[in-house]
Amino acid sequence: MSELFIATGGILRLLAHTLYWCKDAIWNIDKILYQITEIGNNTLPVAALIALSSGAVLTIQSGPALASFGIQESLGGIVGLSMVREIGPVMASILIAGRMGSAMTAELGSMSVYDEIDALKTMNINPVRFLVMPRFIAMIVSLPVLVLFMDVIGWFGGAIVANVNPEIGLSFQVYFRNLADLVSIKAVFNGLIKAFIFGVIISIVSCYIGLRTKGGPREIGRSVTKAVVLSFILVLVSDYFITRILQSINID
Amino acid sequence: MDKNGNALLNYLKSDPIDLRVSDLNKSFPEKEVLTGINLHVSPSETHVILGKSGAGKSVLLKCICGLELYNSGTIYLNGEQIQSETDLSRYKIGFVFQSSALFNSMTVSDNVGIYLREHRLVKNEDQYKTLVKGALELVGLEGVEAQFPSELSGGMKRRVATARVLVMSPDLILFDEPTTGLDPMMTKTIGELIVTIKESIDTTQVVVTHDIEFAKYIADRISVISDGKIIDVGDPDNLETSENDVVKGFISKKFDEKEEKYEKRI
Repeated sequence: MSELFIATGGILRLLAHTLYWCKDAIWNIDKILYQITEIGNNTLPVAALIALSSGAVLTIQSGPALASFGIQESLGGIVGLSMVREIGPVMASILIAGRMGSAMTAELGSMSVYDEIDALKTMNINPVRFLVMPRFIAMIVSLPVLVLFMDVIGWFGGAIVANVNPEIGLSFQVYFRNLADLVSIKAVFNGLIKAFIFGVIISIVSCYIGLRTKGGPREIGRSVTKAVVLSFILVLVSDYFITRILQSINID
Repeated sequence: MDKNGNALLNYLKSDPIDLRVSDLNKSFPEKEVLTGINLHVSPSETHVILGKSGAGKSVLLKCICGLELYNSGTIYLNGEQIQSETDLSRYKIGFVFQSSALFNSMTVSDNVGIYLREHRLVKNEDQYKTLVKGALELVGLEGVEAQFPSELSGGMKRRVATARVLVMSPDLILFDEPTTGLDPMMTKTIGELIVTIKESIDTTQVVVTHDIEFAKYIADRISVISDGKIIDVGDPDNLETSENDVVKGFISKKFDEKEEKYEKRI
């Protein structure tokens, strides 16, 4: 139990330090851009595939049922809203935590084990400024962009299945008209807020566990597993509370 | 070393530190590592801390540069008591790690120049390149700027780590077992490098090692550490005439142990 409190305190402390060092972002723009490129290169193709199949599955699951009541024209809105509010942000976060969060923990964990973090400290280079802040900013910028990308691809995945599947048989025009009617800017913004918060959680948790790694290569592996599992849990649990808060302040 | 021939030597502005450690104690939960350590290193001195593995040498170095917290005792730099990271950050203390601790994702050039870049000490890219080249020349390496640490031998890594410390204009350099894992030729090269640094840069050096011959070659004074205590301090020449039984035992044991191990093996 005490470990839980120590970890929570440590994560919040790291978040506070990272926010403080964001003042030096302009001097570290090359590192931030490098991290954004890494996130983009490593996630865009998989994100496209996941989004396409998510949209398609949503349509194939709900389309025939709606068609049996003759209300299949509302499919565009259902798929569109599901993508922007839930599936886009959560799927993108799970992907980023698994693909980039794990890489961050492994890199920082390895640097910690092989004295590289200590080497930075002896040169009066703050590890939070040098390592955590660029990853944090890259993550909170990239994740919302990735969510927008997944939203659009997901809509198209749904549209294709709705059009091709004979049980649904919905034209692109009807699908997208309904989608445009129901998916408001507010709903998209809601998904982006979630993505932003998930980005904060994943980057800070991954960096915190990486920096605290001690021992040898086996501990690096353990840290990676711990970071991914903790990120998943925090993303999925916080998703409910963020949704509830957004509803209460009328953004959802 | 010709001062006009090396850009780094013209750039360096070291101010050698007077280091004093007083009654320093450090323990880990399961073990007491340092007990009442008293040590004085004069400015510009090369001081060797000699002892066998597990004697507490590396922990002492880490306490001096703030990487390890100690339980009690005092560290003075130029007579000023060090009480916080802020006090310590006023001094430029370079640490050459036993593992070299080079950044594996960066080239040699980026490793050596990281201090210059992060503290924004260079005016332009040309000055940066000249200083990095100068530091690498000083440690006897040329044409390796674009290589990655994984492409270097153990001795080369140790020299790159030293070059990385030199660009800091260090007031104090701490070497943690600089010859561990190196062959005799490379050990000699590292020894020569430490002597070169002493001759060309006005800085204080503390070197931790278990190699007696190496210690005698580089040291102005040697402190012998055993079981977390400094048991003898003196000039290298006086070490073998020490009256301390543990020091005598340590010096003779080194060779006896080797013979015993060899006999056991055959």
